[in-house]
Amino acid sequence: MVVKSEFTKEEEKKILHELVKNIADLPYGDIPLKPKKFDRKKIEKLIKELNELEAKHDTLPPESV
Amino acid sequence: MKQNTTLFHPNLFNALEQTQATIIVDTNVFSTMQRSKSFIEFLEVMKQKTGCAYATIETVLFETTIGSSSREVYEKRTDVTQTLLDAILPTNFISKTKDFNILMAKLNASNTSFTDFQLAACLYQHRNSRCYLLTSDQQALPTFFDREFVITAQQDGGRLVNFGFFRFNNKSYVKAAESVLSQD
Repeated sequence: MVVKSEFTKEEEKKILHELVKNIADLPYGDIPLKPKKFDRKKIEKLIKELNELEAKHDTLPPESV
Repeated sequence: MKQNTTLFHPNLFNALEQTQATIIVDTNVFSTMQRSKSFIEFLEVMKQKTGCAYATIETVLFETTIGSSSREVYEKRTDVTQTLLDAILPTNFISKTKDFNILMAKLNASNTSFTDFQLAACLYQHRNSRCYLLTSDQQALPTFFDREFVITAQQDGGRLVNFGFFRFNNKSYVKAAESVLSQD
């Protein structure tokens, strides 16, 4: 994986804040969970956009970790 | 092999359908989704046919965003995870899995990945539920986890990636614990 440090301090702060916020947005659940509908169209659209962005920034998406 | 197909055992869906299975996804599920339309289709069909739920843990979410080269990339990556997942599973590994932690410290000392440890702890914590880890990392878990199914995903570029469905095996765990205790 290519790791670039192009963020300013201010951007880093914002991103960290959003990471915490995004994690909080997902429901903490216990098993059994109630599955929502699989939104394939949305996922495919997001991934298409993500891959275009990755190509633009010349970064590789994470390989198997 | 048909182009762009994910291969899986015919019993997989039956096994998952029998109970409300929860599939805990590792970071490599997201990276393969990014490279394989047929894998996304497989995840959709598996959910439709079996009613399974997709979940993960915080450290996996962290791994999916590290290396984001811009704010936009970061946001798209989090959007993908949010859209796929039904929930994050809290692991509470310090307070809830003490015996497991001690055993892992002895048996799995060579694997220092915190994510692998937490995924294992999560499977242990939810061992009485139908809970599977879906990962392409075949070395992530110690031997008291069974790989019950294997699937092969084909990336859009043609590369094949094997994933295992891993479950906690209580009998093997007890055996491992006994062998560690007998050494003390």
